Amino acid sequence: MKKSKLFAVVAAIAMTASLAVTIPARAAGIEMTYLTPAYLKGTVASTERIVADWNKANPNATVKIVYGDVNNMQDKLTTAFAGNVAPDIFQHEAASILEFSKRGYLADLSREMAPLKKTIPAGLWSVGSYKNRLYGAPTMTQTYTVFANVDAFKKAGVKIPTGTNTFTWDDYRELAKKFTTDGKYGVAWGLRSPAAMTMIMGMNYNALFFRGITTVPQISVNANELEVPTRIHQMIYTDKTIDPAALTMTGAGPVPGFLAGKYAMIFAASYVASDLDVAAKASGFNWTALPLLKGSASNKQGANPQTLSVSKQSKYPKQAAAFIRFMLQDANLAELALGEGLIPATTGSLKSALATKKDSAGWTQILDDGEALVLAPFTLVPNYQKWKDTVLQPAMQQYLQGKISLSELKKRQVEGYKAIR
Amino acid sequence: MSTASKQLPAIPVEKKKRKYYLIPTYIAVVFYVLFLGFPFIWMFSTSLKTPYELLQLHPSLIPDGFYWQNYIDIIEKRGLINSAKNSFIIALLTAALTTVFTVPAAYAIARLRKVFSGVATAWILISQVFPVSLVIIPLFMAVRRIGLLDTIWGLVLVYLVASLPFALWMLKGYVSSIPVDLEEAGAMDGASSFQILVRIVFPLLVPGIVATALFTFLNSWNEFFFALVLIQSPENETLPLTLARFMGSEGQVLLGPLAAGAFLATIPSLVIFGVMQRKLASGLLAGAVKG
Repeated sequence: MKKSKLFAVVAAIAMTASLAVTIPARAAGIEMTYLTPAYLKGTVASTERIVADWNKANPNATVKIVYGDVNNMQDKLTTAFAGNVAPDIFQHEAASILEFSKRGYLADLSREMAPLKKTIPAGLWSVGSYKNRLYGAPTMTQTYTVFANVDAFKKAGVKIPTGTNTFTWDDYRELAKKFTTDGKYGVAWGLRSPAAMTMIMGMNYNALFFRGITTVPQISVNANELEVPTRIHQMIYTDKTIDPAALTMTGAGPVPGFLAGKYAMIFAASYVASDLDVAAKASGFNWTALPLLKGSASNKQGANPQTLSVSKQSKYPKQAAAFIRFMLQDANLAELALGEGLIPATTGSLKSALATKKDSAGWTQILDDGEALVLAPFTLVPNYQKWKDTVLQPAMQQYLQGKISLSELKKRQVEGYKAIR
Repeated sequence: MSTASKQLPAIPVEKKKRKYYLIPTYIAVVFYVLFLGFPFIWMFSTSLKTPYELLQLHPSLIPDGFYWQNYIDIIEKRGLINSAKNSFIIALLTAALTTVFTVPAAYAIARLRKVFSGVATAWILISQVFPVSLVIIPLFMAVRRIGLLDTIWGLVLVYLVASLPFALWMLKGYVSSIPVDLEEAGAMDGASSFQILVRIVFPLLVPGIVATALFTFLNSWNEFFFALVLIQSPENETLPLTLARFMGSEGQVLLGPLAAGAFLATIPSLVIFGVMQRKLASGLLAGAVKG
């Protein structure tokens, strides 16, 4: 009997405790919700500072921050749109909002953002657009680049490549060979999820992957599309300059080895610069970023910037667009982008970021590289995300791990797309 | 008395022998406990490291110092305490309500005639075959329609519905393991059906109820996906949602704050298990006898 009383007490406490859950009071005027996947300490602080500034200046149209999980934004937004409770404003990535644009879930920002159009590179602007209407204002983006240990280069007497459009894949391969000595690998390259990176880097060789994008897309995997994976494969297995241990690491996985002097170079997305800054501050680690790799076609990389969108369900589209313009102000965007280790999208914010980081050769190089970002046409293909995640990702992993041949990789890409169409 | 004292000298010899043979067992247990506890120790150690220490190629178990900033950040800036409070309330309510609904239902199903029992249990099983991705949008719409979207009660309702089938299935096994003879004896002594349930069945069912309630509590405490979809406001966030926000894309993780948050999030489960482990173990064994 005592035990049954105990359960009754527990149930009573639970009931009482639930009553203590407060219901937030409604703010005066209108309140808009802003869903952001910001999670880094600096970015969260910047976001809160910017929103506080906005709310102070616009007490009748305030913004409430709702933090989302970056890895589940698509699920969250899909259900929110279906249930007509989508946030007024949200930050997401360009490739992922395309589906929402097509379904008519997003407000057209073309007119509201027109004053900013000339400050945003055409490539980035078009990535956030669908049928010539802007649905996602580009904010910041990343590049894939080679990071170098400056002290290791100095010690080896090797000149650090500089400039723009000067550093080729062949140069990279030769550099990797130079630094591969005495059981030490010259390069670490986190290749756990290589699909997006190999496609984006494929633009160096004019890899398109699909033909007839605006009509009926047909997959097309030929020499250009296979060039980047082939080169990486050669560096792993022929030259043996890439540490095989890094094959299963995430993009940022090789950073500890790089900081410990295990590798002279790592290939990673530009966001790892924030980790390198932490090490530079704590131990004086001397790093830089090399110019973007250049293939037979160019040094161009496909862009998939972070974007700010307004939900069509929003009752306050004009105010929401005004908030986006506020976020895109030079100082605000520069602060947000640097916090994430990304390149801000507008020319003014880029200048501001360059001024902040003028003493860092690595950062200067990364910020200069923003010009090489262009629209990756394959992101416009229906089912691109599904094909990339379910077909290309496992096939590319197996190829780079030496489990399947190049012809098998090609076969899986082509047949996999036909199967999911 | 005198016989007992005469037999005493034999006891120490037997004890000594026992201890000797137990040494390897104790060593094995110590290693096993260390093995099981190591992730927890490592998590605590990680939670006390600076961002730079976390970038080391060969991280040490002992941190260079006590970097409490990770804890300060998650509590002051990420609202971990509020999320933990929400999770606790939701898990407690779910466990309590599940118990309230499950006990009579499990009793009825276990004591029903075989054909009805079979149909009822099959019906319960069918409700478990639908994948979450299939039901999430209709469920979202339903919760929204009844005005419980973005509320703690909405999440409790969903968790209750999600927990009931398995809890019912689990508790039915415990009820079946209680001999019907005991209830018949009670009836012969003049007890009503309600009295039989409360005075005879319920006390014998306590271990099973504890096991079921704990199971439900932990499932609700850890649940992520429903909370992700149904909760919109930061003030209603649960612990798994807050912890997920320390992870970025492409494998980026804010390891220090995540470890600090995960360490704190583990404590309630450990305490509850510590307090109730005997009941849980006996409950699990009792339920295992009959299906």
